Amino acid sequence: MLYDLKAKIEINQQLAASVYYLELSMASIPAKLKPGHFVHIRLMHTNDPLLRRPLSVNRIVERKIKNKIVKNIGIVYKIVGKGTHLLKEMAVGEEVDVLGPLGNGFNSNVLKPQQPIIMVSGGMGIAPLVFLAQKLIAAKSKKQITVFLGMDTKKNLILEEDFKKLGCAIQISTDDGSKGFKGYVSDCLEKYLSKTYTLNPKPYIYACGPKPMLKALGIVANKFDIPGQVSLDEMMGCGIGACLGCVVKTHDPKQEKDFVYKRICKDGPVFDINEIIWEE
Amino acid sequence: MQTSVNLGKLKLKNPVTVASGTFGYAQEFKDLVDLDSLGAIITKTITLNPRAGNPTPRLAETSSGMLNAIGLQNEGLDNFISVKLPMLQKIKTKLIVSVSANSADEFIHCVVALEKADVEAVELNLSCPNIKYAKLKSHKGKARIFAQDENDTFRLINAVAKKTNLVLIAKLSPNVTDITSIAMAAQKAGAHALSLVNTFSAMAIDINTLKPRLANVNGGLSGPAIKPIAVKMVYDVAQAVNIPLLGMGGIMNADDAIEFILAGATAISVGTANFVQPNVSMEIIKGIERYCQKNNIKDINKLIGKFRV
Repeated sequence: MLYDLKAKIEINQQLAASVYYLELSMASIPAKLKPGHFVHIRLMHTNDPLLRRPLSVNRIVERKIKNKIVKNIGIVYKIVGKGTHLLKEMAVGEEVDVLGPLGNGFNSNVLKPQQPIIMVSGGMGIAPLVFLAQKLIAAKSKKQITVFLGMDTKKNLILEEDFKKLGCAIQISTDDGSKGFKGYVSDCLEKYLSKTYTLNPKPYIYACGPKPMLKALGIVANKFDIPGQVSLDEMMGCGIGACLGCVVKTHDPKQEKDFVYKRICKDGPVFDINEIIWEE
Repeated sequence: MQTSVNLGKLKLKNPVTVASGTFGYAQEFKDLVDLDSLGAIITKTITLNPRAGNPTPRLAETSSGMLNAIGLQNEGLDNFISVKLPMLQKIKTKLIVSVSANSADEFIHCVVALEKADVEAVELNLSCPNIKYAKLKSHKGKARIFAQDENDTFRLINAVAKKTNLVLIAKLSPNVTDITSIAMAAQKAGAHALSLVNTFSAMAIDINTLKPRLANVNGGLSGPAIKPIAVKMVYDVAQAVNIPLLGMGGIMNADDAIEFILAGATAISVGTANFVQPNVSMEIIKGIERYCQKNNIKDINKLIGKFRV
């Protein structure tokens, strides 16, 4: 069931130079959200920007209000264009319009008991992985999670503490080498896998980030024959599978066609790591 | 209050429809919109054979507008009839199937098959700006959108009209010098109504990468940015033909819809606004009713083309 509801801004606070944490309260949607889901946010009272902004869910926060537990949606967003710039200016108490829950979400049923988990994030791709790590840690079977966190530079690193609190091991890489491994997160992972990691039992990868990073990660995962899922980020029209604006090329399971377009908003945003045909 | 309007033989319970390509095959919206309440649903365009569509990126946002170059991605006629049509026909509203084709024969094939499948009305999409059209001799070897040429418009609609009893709605392009001449050709050819207008051919450039923001380079502009031009085209065509018009182009709310009706549209289509606010068509239905009540209008038909200069 999809909902399109008004949500009240509870928190809208800066985390890093151009990164903000937004917390929204509303009916119905928060309780239905799973890791990897996204919501499509509309700033009301304007036609410019016209379209909604798809934002991944960073966490579900339980707040006690008048002795009642309510669930809020936590979102971490980066100021990229007109829409996020306006969102940053919005005050606590103001309303936005939220469409959700959207997308398929990460599938954790495929995990084998005791299977180690590797999470890989590039830039803002870290946001939905927090929610996933929280859910996996809260599940009955014990999980060992190693997070590979890639960012451009040290001062933009966010959400590291959340993973630490959950007991995840953390490997940081920065493009400029200001913290941790200098270079791409995929290279950091490759180095780690070849030097320090025993591939028995075989780990499982969950990743989110920009396409070039996921493409590079796909090559590493393939090299070590590690299964996994990736969550794609894309500009969207409707967000509900109608407009066919946010498609991605995937391999045809029937092997009849060179490729099959899948909708990132509806068939994704999470795909099997081997399903995507990466383009330049 | 009387809210029903007629597009030829097709009787709509209210003048609010959803535009082709912006509402999928309706199931996508079922949680958010009372589908039965709509005046009509116009499907995403189908073609005889499946089409993969254009490369990505297919969408770009511009000031109060949206550029798209989807390229008529669809699963083809057979899949539509066997998979999508049964679900669409369960909805208690009028269904208008949007069809595009490369030739008169292909149009006829699709329309005849749809008629056999109990479809009542089709919208002939002669005006998608995002696909490659045949390079005809009459165009001196240049590919043109069918609806950019009076003769092509007449020839295609007339060929279909001779082979079917379905309600034929021709969707015209705004990318022309004089839309009234194309509209008159469509009327003469046997169209029962006209959809005005498709998107405006447009483009946007990323100044940082020096690349077009759409992989297809050019796309179709929709949204509030085009509304005043679309209103004028509806007004101009309303003076030139006597078949009903389905007005569209940047309708975001009931006020916009009423503007189109006053300009001469019998019914309207909500397009890009479906992406912004999925249930907007229902709000427009209510808003039109409120406007009529407030202004003591007993029959919506009395509003059509009733603006004063």
